[in-house]
Amino acid sequence: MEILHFLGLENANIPAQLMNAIWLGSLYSLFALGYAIVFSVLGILNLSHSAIFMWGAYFGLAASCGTSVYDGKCVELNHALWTAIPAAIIGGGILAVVIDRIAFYPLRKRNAPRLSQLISSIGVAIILVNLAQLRFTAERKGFPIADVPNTPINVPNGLDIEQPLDVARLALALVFQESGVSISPIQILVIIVAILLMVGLSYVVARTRLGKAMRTVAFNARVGNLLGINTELIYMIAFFISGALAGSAGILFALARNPAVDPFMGDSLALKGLTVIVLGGLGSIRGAVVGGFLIALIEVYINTATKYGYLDQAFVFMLFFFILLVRPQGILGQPIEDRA
Amino acid sequence: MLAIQNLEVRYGAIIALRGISFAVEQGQVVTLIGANGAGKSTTLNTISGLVKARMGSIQFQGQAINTWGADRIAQHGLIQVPEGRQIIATMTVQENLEMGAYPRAGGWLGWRGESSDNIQADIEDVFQRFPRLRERRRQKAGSLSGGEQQMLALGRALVAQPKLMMLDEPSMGLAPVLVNEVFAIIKDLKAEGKTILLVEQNARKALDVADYAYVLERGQIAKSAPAFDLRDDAEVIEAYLG
Amino acid sequence: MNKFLKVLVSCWLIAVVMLPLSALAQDGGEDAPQIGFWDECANPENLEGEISVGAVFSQVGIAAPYGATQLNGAKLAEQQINESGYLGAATFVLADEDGGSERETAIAAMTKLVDETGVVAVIGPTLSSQAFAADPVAAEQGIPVMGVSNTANGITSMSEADDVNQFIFRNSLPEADVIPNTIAVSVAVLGIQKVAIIYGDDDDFTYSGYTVFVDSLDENGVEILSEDTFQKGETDFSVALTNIIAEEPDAIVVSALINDAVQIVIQSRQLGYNGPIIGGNGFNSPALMVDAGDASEGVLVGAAWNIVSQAPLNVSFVEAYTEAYGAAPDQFAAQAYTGTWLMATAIRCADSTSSDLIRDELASIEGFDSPLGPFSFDVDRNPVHIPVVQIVDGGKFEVFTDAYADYFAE
Ligand SMILES: Nc1ncnc2c1ncn2[C@@H]1O[C@H](COP(=O)(O)OP(=O)(O)O)[C@@H](O)[C@H]1O
Ligand SMILES: [Mg+2]
Repeated sequence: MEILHFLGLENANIPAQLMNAIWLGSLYSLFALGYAIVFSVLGILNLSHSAIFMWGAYFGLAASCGTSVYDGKCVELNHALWTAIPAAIIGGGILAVVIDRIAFYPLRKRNAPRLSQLISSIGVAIILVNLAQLRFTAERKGFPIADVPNTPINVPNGLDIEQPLDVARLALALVFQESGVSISPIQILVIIVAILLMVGLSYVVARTRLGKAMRTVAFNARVGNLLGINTELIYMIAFFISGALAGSAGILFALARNPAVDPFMGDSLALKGLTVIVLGGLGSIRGAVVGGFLIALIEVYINTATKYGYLDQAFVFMLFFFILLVRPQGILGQPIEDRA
Repeated sequence: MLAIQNLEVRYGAIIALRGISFAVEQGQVVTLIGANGAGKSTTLNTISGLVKARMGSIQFQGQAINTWGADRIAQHGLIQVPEGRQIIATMTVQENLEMGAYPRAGGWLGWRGESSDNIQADIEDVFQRFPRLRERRRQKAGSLSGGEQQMLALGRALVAQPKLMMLDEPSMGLAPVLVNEVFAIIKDLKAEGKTILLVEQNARKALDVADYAYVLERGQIAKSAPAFDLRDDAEVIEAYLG
Repeated sequence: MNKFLKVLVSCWLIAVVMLPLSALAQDGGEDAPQIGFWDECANPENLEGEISVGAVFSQVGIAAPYGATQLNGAKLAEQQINESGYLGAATFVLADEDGGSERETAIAAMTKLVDETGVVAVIGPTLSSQAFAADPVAAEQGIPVMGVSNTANGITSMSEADDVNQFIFRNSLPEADVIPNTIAVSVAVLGIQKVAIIYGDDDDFTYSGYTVFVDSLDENGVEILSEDTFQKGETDFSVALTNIIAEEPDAIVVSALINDAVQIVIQSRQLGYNGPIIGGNGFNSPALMVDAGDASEGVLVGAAWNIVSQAPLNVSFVEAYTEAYGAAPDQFAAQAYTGTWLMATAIRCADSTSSDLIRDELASIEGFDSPLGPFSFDVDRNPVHIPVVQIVDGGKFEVFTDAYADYFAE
C-alpha cells in the first residue's frame, strides 16, 4: 500500500488498468510492427503509415457498408461485418505497395538521400488524409452500432450449463466481473489478432525463406542481389506486409472504438508508433512489440497518476529524446540480431 | 562460356572501363590482375548486373545478359564472391549457406525448387571441405575470423552450384598462412573442373593457379596471355610481382 | 342549509379547479391559453395599415437548414397575430429577405430592409457571425434588431457605442446560461453529491463549458472528485474513465464536442458505468443517439427548448406548427416563433410605429408566456427564461423532471 501511495496508484483499479494496457499495447504493437518492417528492410521511415491505418479503416467500412459511406453514415450493412477485416488488410497492403512505387521507388532508383524519402512519405501522408476528406468528408463514421459486438463481456442471460461454450463464457465473465475488468469481444479479438500476427511475423522473419531473404536484403541489398534475390520484389512484399498490418490495426481499432473512422484517426498514432519503434529499437520486430506494450503501460500509468490525458505524450517524448541520446539502438540491446 | 566484348562503364564522369574484351572458357581459371582502382571490381559487378554498361556486350553461355537484373544473372549460375566477402553477419553460418541456395530452392515461395535435402547435402559437402564451418554452424557469421569468413563466402557460392565463379580478391586482408590456404582451395576447385574468373592484386599467386591472364590498367586490358607466359614477363614482374 | 352550502361551495370549487384542467385534457377547446400580452397592454388604437417587420434568415448556404425552419416559425406567428387582431386595425407584415450564410449576404439583406422596405424592426440574422456584421446596419439607424438563434458571447454588446447596442436584442439563450440550470436541476432531482469531470482543454468551447460547469457545481455544493483532460484526436478514453469510475462518482460531467462525447459515453458504459452522464451543449445533437445507441440512455443535456415540454403554449405551438408544415418544429422554429410574437407585442404595447418606442417596450417585456416558458429580457437585452434539461430515454431526448428521480436507482 505504501508503494502504491508513492506511485500515486492508491485509488486505481489495477486489474482494469492492466487490461487497458494490454489492449492499447496490442494496438500500438500491431501498428508499430508495420513501421518496423519497412524500416528494417529498406532503412526508411514511412511516415504515411498512419494514413494507411486510416485508409484501412475506410476500406473495411466500404467493404461491409457499400457505397453508402461515401455520402453519409453507414446505416445498414451490405455484406457481413467480417468482410471488413480482409478488405482492410488487403486494401492497406496494396495501398502501401502503391505508395512505395510512387513515393519511394523513383527516389530509391536515383539513390536519393534518406531524408528526401522521409519527406516524400510525409507528403504522401498529407495527400492521403486530404483525399479521405474529399471522398468521405471529415464527418466521423462507423458501422451500425447494433452489428458490432462491442458490449463488454459480462455474466450473460440464458446460459445453458450443458453447453460447454456457455460454461466457458460464464467463467470468463465471472473472472472479469470479479476483478472489475471490462472488455468487449472486439477488444479480445484485437488482442488475439495482434498476438497471432506478431507471433506469425516473428516466425516468418526467423524461419521462412522469405524472412531470410528479407533479413539478407535488410543487411545489404547488393549482397541479396548477388545471391539471386529479387530485391524489388522483397521490398514490395515488405511494403505489402507493412500496409496489411496498418490496415488491420485500422479496422480493428475502428471496430473496437466504433464509430471512430475519420480522416484524422491516425494522427495521434503516428508519433506514438514512431516512439514505440525508437524505444524498442529501430527495425526490430521484438522491439516493436515490447515497445508497444511499454508505451501503453507508461500511458496508462501517467494518466492514472496525473489525470492529464495527454501528459503521457510529453513523457513519452522525453523518453524518446532520452533514448536517442543514451541508447540509440533501443532497449532491446542488439537490434541487428533480429532485424528483419 | 563467358565472352566480354568492348565493355565500357562509367560512374558519372569517371570512366572505369574503356572498352575491354576478354573470354572465359568452360573449365578454365582465368585471372584478371591489376592495381588498385584499375577497374577489376567494376568488371565483375558489370558482369553480375549490379552495374550497367554504357557500351559493349556480355555473353554467358551464348546468351546476352547485359540487360538482365543481378538476381536473374545469379539464378543462371554466374556467381560472384564479392570483395570483402560480404557474408551476412546477422545470420548464422548455416543460414548464410542456405541463402547461397536461394535460387535453387525456388526463391521466397519455394516454387518448383529443389528439395531441402538436396541442398543440405551440398551444405554438408561444404562442411566437408571446411570443417571449421561445421563447428561454427550455429554461430552468427559476424563472429567468424577473417579466414573463416572467406571460407563461408566461398562455401555460400559453392552451394549455389555455380557454372562460373567470380572471386573478387579472395586473399585480401588475410594473413600469409591463410592466403596460401585460399589459393590451395582455388587449386582444388580447378582440379574439380570448376570454371573460375579470379580477380587479384596478388599477381604471383594468381598466375600460379590460372590458365590464362589479363592485365587491367586504368580500365583497359594492357596485356593478355597464358598465365604461364606472364610469370616470366619482365614488365608484369616489374609492375606487379616486385 | 349549512350542509347544503358546504356541498354547493365544494361543487363550485371542484368546477373551478377541474374545468380548466378538463379543457386542457381535451386538447385546447375555447379556453386554450393564448400567447400574447392581451391584458398587460390595451388594444392598440393608433395602429393602422401595414406594419413591416424584417426577417433575415438563411435560405441558402450552410445555415439554410436552420433558416428554413426559422422562417416557418416566424410565418406561423405572423398568421396568428393577424388572425387574432393582436395589432388592432393594423396588419403585421413579415418582410423576409434571404440572408444567405455569409456575412456579406446578411449585410445586403439588412440594408435592403432598412433602406428600401422601411421596416420598423428586424428579426435575425441566422448565424452569430452574420449578426456581428449586419446588426449594426439596423441598430445604428435606431431600428431594433432581435437575434433568434445567435448564441455567441457579446452579441448584444457588439458595438463600442452603447446607444447602438441598446437596439440589439436576442431571445436565444447563450450556452453559458443553459449549464447552470442543467446542474441545478440534476442535483435537485437526483441528489448528486460528488462528480468527476472530464473535458477537452484544447478547445475554447469545451474549456469554457468546463469552467461554467465547475462554477455551477460549486454553487450547488457538489464535490468534484477529480478532473481529467483530453485533447483533440484522442479516441481512447478507457484509461481516464476507468480511473473516474473507480472513484464512484454520483455523475460524470463531460464538456466535449460531439465526436468525443460519443466515445466517452460509449466507453463509460462499456466500462460498466450506468449512472448519469451530464453533458455540455456539445452533446446537443441527434448524433448522440445515432452513434452511441443504447449507451446514450441516461445522458443529461440542457437546451433552450424541447419539443416534448408540456407547457400549454408549447403544446399548442407544436400542434399548430405540425398542422401547418407537416413536420415537427425544432428549437430554431420555436425561437423564431417566440421572437416574432415578442416583436409584435412590443408594437402593440407601444401603440406606435416609432422604432424608439418599440425598442423601449421590447426592453421592458417581462414574464411573457411562450413556448420557451415565461420569457423576459435582462438589462443587457439578453433572454431570461428557464431552459429545459433533457434526458436520453428510449432513444430520444425527453424532458428531465422529478419523474426521473429513481431512474438511476438500481
Ligand atoms: N561506385 C562508384 N562510384 C564512382 N566511382 C567508382 C565507383 N566504384 C569504383 N569507382 C571508380 O572506378 C574505378 C575502378 O574501381 P574498381 O573497379 O573498384 O577498381 P579495382 O577493383 O580494380 O580496385 C576507380 O577509379 C574507382 O574510384
Ligand atoms: Mg576492387
